[in-house]
Amino acid sequence: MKKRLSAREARLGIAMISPAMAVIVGLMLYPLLYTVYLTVADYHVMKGVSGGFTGLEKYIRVMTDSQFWNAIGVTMYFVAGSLILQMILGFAAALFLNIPFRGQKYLRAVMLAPWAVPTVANAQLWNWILNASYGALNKLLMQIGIISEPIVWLGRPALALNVIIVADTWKMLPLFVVMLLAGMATIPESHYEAAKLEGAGILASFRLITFPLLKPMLLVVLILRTSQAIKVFDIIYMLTQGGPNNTTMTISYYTYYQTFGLFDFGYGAALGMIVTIITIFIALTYKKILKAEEVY
Amino acid sequence: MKKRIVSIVLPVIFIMGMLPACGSTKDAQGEENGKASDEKPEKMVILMSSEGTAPMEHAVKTFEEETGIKIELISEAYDNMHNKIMTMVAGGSQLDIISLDTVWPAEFADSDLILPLDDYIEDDFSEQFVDIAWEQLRFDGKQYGIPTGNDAKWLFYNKEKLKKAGYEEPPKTWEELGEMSQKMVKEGIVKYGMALGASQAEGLTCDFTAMLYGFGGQYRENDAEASGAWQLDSDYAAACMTWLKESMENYVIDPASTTYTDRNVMNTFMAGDVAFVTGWSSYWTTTNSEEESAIAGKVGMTMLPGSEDAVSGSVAGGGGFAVARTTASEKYAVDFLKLLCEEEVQKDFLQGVSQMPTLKALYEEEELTEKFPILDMAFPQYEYAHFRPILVQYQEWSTMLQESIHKVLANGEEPRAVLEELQDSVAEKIKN
Repeated sequence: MKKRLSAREARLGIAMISPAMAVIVGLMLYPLLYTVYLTVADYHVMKGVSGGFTGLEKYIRVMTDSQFWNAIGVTMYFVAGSLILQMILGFAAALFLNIPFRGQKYLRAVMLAPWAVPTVANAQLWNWILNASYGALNKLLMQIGIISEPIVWLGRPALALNVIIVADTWKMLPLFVVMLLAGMATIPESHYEAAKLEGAGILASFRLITFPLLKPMLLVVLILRTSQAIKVFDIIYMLTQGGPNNTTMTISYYTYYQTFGLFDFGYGAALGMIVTIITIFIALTYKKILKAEEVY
Repeated sequence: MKKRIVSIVLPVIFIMGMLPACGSTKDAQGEENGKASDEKPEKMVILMSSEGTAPMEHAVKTFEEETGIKIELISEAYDNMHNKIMTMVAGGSQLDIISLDTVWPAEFADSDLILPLDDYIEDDFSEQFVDIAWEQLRFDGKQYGIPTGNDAKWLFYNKEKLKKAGYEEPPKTWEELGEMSQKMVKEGIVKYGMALGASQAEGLTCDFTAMLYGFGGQYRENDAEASGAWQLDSDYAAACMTWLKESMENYVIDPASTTYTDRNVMNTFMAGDVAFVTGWSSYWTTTNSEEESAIAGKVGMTMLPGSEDAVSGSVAGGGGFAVARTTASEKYAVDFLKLLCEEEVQKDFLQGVSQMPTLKALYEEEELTEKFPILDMAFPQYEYAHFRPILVQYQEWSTMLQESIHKVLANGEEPRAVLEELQDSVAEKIKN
């Protein structure tokens, strides 16, 4: 039965939540609504709002902007590439670290180290490793005879985004491993014993027990990482600034460039809104999949 | 009921928030007509690049003692300066004097971010400056800044490497530089001939500008007066772009240059891996520093090469200071700028941060040129230094140029076709 609050209690309740509400309205809701407003206003950062409303003009400009579609393509490639690579390597590492052996705990702890490195420091680290003239990677590959001339990893359009995916994977892999290990810890040992009695091998156990039971955890990690990967900015800023020839121009970097490079706040806001809509759409899709999953 | 209250309160908060935002530009101007008072203010605020703060502090102290006005000095890394200026002025903070890079006057003046100084300077005031230093801070017939740093790009070369290859003199043309480089690479003296800051950033625009003029070209029919039709697909531009492309392929230019910033270029040069680099005046001090450079004392500095069609070509850099529209007093702000043009102050900047003076007289002062041999080496280049286009949409134009150069250097596309495409898109998108 629903019990109505007394007027005094209600007032107290409102008073208690009002500081938090003020913060939410001031720091989240107002900037969000203001961003929407910027997308339909004729706004110039130095002149303010001069020519009234422009309607959907900026959204139409976004849709017909070839650079925007290039940035969407680059971002999707980055998201798919890094997620697939991290998922495969994450599964392999988690399965390995789930086997009891001497030093397993220490190895699990060491595994976490890259995740603790700040993204900017990680980017700088890879900047040195990938440097064409004095980078460690070229030196190593030349010493073992795989290449005879240095490769310009970050200067070649076909390579730049791929090596950025590798650099990102090095940092983010521990997240997959930790989450998957946590998921594996929840699978009762009896399932595997029963499967063994039924004659199932390692592969069959993985396919029929480990993978299905890890699906919910996997989806959580995927949602988390997808939203992070779509926003990728810092590593791009540090390593390539969108080059060579815009092949690493992700949507976040493009939005930054339009907003703070060209100071076109209105267009930057329109780009930001579209990215937000895409992210919400992906998150809802994941959520739907997650809800639909049946875990036995 | 509660829902109704929320639905009313939220839009009200939102609309109230919009009102100051809409009116912010008027508030930010300090005065409605954009002209600040000439009364003596209590305090003035200077925003400048963090590279030159020490000599500036001396000037600040002198000014404070003379006028009794307190100066607040804010320093910011050069890369963040443009955004910091825009956001501070747009936000209405008191800001009196700002650093003014050579490519900013058009954009800032068009936004009324900086004020013209013509009412406060005498007719013959400009005559004391090196021409290009003064001219580059003009826009639309008005003077928007006082030049304090006079920079351009020069050719820096490793004298020891050249001697080893049998060369007594640095190259006079880009073709010659290519031939010398190939010989030195073949003989194992250097890894590559030269390194270039060719990552997708402003440094690339600077180098391309210098080379384009070195090949005899220019961006518009009349770059000096910022007028005329674009000629980005001229034969000169094509020759320049083709030389760059071929040089990347035949070891004249380090192929990793497409990832290099100015600092990477210096590092490669200082490690002795290349014989040549193009660089600003500050390279002289750094590359000759015993602590940082393996080639200290072996560095030569000369004019950038030219071609059959031009003796040399370089790009103007440097800049000066301007008065922001949020100033408390235009008169006193200009007085401070005039102080920065005094010989002693400019010598202080030369001594402290190797900033090349803008006053002609200092290049003729024997005592000074003996103490700073760079002055004699640097001066001839100014005659051949040119502006990057003076445009309100400069940033956008520069990005378009950088993308095109990368299409050629990184993607290997055909120079002429890329330049024709660039010509069309610039003519369509950039207001001349």
